[in-house]
Amino acid sequence: MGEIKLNGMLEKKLGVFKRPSFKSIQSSIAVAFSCLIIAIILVMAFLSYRLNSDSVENNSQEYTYQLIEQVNTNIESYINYMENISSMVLDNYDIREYLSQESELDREKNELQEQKISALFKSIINARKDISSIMIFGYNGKFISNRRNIKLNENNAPKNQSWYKKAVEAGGRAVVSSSHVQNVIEDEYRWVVSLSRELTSADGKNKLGVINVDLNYSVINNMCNKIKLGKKGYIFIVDNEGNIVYHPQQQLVYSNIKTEQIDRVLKSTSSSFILNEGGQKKMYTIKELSQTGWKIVGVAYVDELVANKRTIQAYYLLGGIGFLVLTIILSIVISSRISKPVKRLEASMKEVEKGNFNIQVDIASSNEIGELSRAFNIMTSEIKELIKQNMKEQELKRKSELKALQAQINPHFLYNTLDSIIWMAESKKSEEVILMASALAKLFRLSLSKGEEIITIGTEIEHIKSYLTIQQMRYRNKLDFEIDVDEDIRQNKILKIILQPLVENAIYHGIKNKAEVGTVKIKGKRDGDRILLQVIDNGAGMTPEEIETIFNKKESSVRGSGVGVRNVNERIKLYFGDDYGLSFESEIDRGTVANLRLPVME
Amino acid sequence: MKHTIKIALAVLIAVSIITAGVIVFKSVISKGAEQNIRITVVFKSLNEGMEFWDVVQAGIDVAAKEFGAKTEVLGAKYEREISRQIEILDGVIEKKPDAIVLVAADYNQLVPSVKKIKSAGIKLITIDSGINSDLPESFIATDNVQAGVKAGLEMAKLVDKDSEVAILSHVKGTATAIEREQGVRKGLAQSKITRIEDTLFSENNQEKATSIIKQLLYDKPQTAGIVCLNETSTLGAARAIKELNLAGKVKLVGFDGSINEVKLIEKGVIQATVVQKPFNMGYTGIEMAVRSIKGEKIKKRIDTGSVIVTKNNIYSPENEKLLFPFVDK
Repeated sequence: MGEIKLNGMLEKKLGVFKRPSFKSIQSSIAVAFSCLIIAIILVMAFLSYRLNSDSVENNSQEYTYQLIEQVNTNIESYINYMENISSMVLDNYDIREYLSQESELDREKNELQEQKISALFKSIINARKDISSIMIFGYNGKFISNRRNIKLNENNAPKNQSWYKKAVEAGGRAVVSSSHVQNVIEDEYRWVVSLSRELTSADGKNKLGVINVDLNYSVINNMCNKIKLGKKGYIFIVDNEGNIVYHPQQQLVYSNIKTEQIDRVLKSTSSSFILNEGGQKKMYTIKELSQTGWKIVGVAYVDELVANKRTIQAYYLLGGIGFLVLTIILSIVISSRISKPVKRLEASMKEVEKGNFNIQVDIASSNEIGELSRAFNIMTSEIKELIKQNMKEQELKRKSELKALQAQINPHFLYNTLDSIIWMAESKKSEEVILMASALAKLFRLSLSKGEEIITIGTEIEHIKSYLTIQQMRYRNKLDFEIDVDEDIRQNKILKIILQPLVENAIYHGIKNKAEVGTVKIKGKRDGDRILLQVIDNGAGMTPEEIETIFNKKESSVRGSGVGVRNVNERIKLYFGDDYGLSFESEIDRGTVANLRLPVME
Repeated sequence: MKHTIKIALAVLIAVSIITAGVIVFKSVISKGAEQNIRITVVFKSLNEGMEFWDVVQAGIDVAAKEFGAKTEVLGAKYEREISRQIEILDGVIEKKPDAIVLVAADYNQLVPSVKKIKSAGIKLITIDSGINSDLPESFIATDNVQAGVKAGLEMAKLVDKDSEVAILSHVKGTATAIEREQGVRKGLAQSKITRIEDTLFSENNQEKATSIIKQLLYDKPQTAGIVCLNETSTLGAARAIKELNLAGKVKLVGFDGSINEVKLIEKGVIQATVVQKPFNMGYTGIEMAVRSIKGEKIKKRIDTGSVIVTKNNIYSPENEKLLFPFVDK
């Protein structure tokens, strides 16, 4: 029980969802189209957006990596150059000899050597503006550099400096310092990157001193400064101990206003990672310098990439909306092309409903709607024709009724009858006057029949009997009549005054022209599913042409009973259809039979 | 025929809608991208060639790049031209930048200008030197009291508890002089040093500082330490000590970290100096200006910090950058 109820409820609910009320064809087509296109656009946009944004991200990562690679190459070339200088110095005989001297035995020679070496350094430095100084600190206490007029800062002994200590530790290998202030020369505090190296004698047995080559820090600073990674992105460099070699916001980092992921960079083994820092995503791309162990790090703000992404997103959205608008407009146009004719057809049908049959739909298209409208047009014109015909028939009926009425009160007949009565009265034949006058009275009474159009066969027979009685008295000894109508059809109904014109015709065209006494027989019986009434005379008879004339003659040109006979036929056919009506059988000098075939009406 | 017109019309409408959309959307995008924030920085002076202001400027440039702001830096020819700074501010107000970062030349005389700036709807940030008003969004500077305390504590490490200590200030009544002295006295008091002589004033004149200290050391040779409250006073006092061959005997704790002071530290004439962080000042000034333009709530007072530099830590990575700022010109 419960289940059934539930099912019922479910169905009800589903029913609600199943039939969204799109009443018109137009809206349902438009909605269906739009849904389809929206789905397609969404899928396409999503797919291409995904592909595109991925490639944007990859591209920018690739770009960052290339920039870093470039910085890497440049720094390596500087360091290589510094190392080459140190190697050159190492191999220089003059310098070795100068450093090997235990004491200043020969002052002049010493001075000469110093000049020579200094000149060499000078020429090296002149070739490259990026090298700020070359200095040698001999273990024998000698100091020489590219400049001759400088003094050492007595407060900062070279051997206490970390670049010096590290060179001694490294034992002949070149050591590159982080960026630092070179403070060994009096009154000079320059930012440099130092390459230092211990010098040994040619046989490698004796240690002679330390050479220091300083690279202007501005070279690195300018190079890194120029690198643009979006608007906010930057690069920084740390040495293998985590000291900052270059960072655009070094002071902020040291003051803890900014934090930099130096530890993570040092530990990182991969070449790239993304970091979420206070809602800002940063992409770190790392490249390690092989000689120095420095790490060059590119920091790009994913936000900026995303800004790019948003642009793409916005373009896709815009495109989507554009296509959607286009789709909706197109689907409205197309669906209106389909539904407009239907609507017009509908409007036309409404007109027809109201009774306006003059309407014609002019839809020229050859599709189903066109077919429908053509069929509609044919239908309306046919209905129109039928109505016209119907109206014509109604008119005809009224006219024929009028004629029947005329036949019934034929003034000619009336005054002839009245003449006969007068004549009989003059001859004092009162019996006959009474008979004739009463027959006339009965005739008229019956023909009025209370205004009914349909009367019983019995009444009609009574009526024709009165008529025949009057005529018999008028045509004394010339007319005889018999009435033989089955009793069982006397209660059936027929149109009134259909026998009188036939009898009139029999008398005037048959018996009147006969020398001897003529007989008119009225017969009535059931003939299958019809009633057959016959008016039989044994008068002159008619030729087939004459019969033809009765039916075909134009109304205006026929006078007398011919009109009446045809009117009888027409009335029967109008009331009961073409299956019923009047026919004649006639033979010259033998007589005529008029057959009235009528439906059985209870 | 009718349908062709209809379709053409529909396409036309669609195209126009799309075009309108593109225009709207482009303007939205460009708005998002070029959110041009205009900030005008007004210094006390532009060409006194002080490294301090070069470093402030470097901080301003870095922040401007990071926050996407357009900055313009103005200033009078000389620091003492207070009326000139007022004139400059009037001109700036007319140009209606989004924010002004001001280094006030005078604590009181610039208050009307500050009111004008506020009523023009321009955000105002003061850096380094404050103003006698509550109107600026924020005052970003070294906490001079705190810096003074550091100097006082450092001096206490250098001298015996019962020794006499002198304070050489610069201009009587200036905010920095008052606050730093207050801090120094606090720091000394914390270290139980009570014999503090009356504060001397160099009037921001190095030669005067030298003569004052020479006089002091003649009059009171028992003076064990001198705390100087700005660079001129420090250099003047150092010269006096050097000329009297008292280097290392009379302890000197100063303020600021110019190259000349660094040399004197290396030579042992100055034992310690309190160094401010001008880069941070410039950077934070712009950062706060941008944030207040964006409608964020910012602190009324921001301390950019200070550090004590002695012979031992001149070349630490942190101090190296402070003392030898790499200003690329």
